[in-house]
Amino acid sequence: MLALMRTAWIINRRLLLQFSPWLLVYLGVVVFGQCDGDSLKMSLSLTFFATLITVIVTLQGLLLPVEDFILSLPISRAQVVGAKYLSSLLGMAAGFALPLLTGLLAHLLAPSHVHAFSAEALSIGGLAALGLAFGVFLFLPFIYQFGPTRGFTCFSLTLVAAFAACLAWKGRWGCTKALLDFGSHMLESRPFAFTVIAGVSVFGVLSLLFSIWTYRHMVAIGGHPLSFSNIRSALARSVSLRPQKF
Amino acid sequence: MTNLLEIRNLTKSFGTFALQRVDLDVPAGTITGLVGANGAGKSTLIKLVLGLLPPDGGEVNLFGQDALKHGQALRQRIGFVQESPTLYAHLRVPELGRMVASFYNAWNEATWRRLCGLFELPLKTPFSKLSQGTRMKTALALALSHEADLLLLDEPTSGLDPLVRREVLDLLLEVIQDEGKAVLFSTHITSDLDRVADHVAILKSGCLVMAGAKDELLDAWSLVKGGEDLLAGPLRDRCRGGQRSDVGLTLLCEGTEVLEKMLPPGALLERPSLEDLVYFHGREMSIHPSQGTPWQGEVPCSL
Repeated sequence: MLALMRTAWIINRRLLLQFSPWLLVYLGVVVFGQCDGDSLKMSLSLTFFATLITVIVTLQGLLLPVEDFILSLPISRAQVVGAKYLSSLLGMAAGFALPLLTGLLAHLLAPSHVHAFSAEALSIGGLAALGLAFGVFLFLPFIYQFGPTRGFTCFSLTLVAAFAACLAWKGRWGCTKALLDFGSHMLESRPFAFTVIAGVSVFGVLSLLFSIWTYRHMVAIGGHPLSFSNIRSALARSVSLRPQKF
Repeated sequence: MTNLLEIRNLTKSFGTFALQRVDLDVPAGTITGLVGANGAGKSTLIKLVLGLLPPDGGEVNLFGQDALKHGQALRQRIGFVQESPTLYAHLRVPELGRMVASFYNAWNEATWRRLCGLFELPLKTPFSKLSQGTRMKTALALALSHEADLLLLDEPTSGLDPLVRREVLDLLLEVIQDEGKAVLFSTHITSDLDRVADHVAILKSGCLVMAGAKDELLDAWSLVKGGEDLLAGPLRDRCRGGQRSDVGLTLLCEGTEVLEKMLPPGALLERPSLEDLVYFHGREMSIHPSQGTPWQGEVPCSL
């Protein structure tokens, strides 16, 4: 497991270095967002940055057919899955920590120009982190059940279906309002917030267990890395819900 | 001689392909070549040994232990190189070395550095920018740097230029200087086997049609050349494949001395090459109108 985390660190460090010009630009945007002290703007830029890093870290390895190589190493499949969950969550934590630290540093250096992150912005950021963790816990079982291409396609279709169902149920603005109400309720009511956090944690554990279980029975997903052409062909084949064979 | 790898009745099927009841031993101190056409099942067999694929039936024993039960621990002693190695594209060779090193207890940094130097691996180029040959050499260096007892190489020489190919084959010979180690490598280039293999296993359409010491196999078979009358006599029962051309028949037959007595006048007996064994075994011939019943090569699946 440690070796896998070390691998994730080596890979992600290189990835982040490759993306560093863009990340620096975006960290500048985050700091710029702190200038007028608007909490919503701060939390949105924070969340966007964290999502970006989480997506990069979670997708690494799925973009390449490296599965055969990884599974030929002296590790178990459960360890592979566990390391992926852990690295995704650590990536998410880093995604929040980086702009927070940058913002704090900018505030300390120029307190009259850059506002500190407000408690409200941090709370909204916390909500976003919970949503992001939920997204990761939902995404990974699809990947381990169906392979990267079909898994990504099924995950996207699930999101679209959920959105469509919400639209049909609540109407055009009803969905947004329901989401905002949910967030507000979490911020106002501690017991409710703890219940939701506990719920997401339980979902995370179940998601991990399911991924471990299903990945043990997965034949091989190597050879079908995540790519737009593969997604297109998966969609064209109308996504039969069976594990991919190589 | 101890067997580092023992495969018994191994079967695996998916779609229209089936690997059928394969039995194979890889003794210590030997290089075993797994040869066959594309799609014969070579890569599948290697993946089954490594546990990348679950078998439908049969047993795989590595170093005397059940590979299915103890796969994770046993892989510490295996070096694997896949066909067209795909590693993390954006990582450089030293980073790949550091990454792989953390998985193996017996990682030897000195060996890794020596191999990087020997193969002249570029240290500052991302893996994705390396040529096919350099990728293969990188994968080989990674597989050889943790003192693996068994090397499983899936077409390690395909796509390599002759010079590098020779280097790689020489390296395999160097590996088995240690009598406790062995190499199983798949290829469809029989000249590689001629050069380094002690044992050969020939796969055809998922069937292991021949396996054994290379020289014994070559001594056990003959290539018979002659006219159409070859198939009329007792020779026919000993034949396992052949080809008809404008100048006559070429048949692959079991046996050597015994065949000489069966030869019709004008027929020739030759020692086959490995390529002949692979090419002719099970090869069906078109039906000739002058022959009573059509003749077909027979491909027995069990040896």
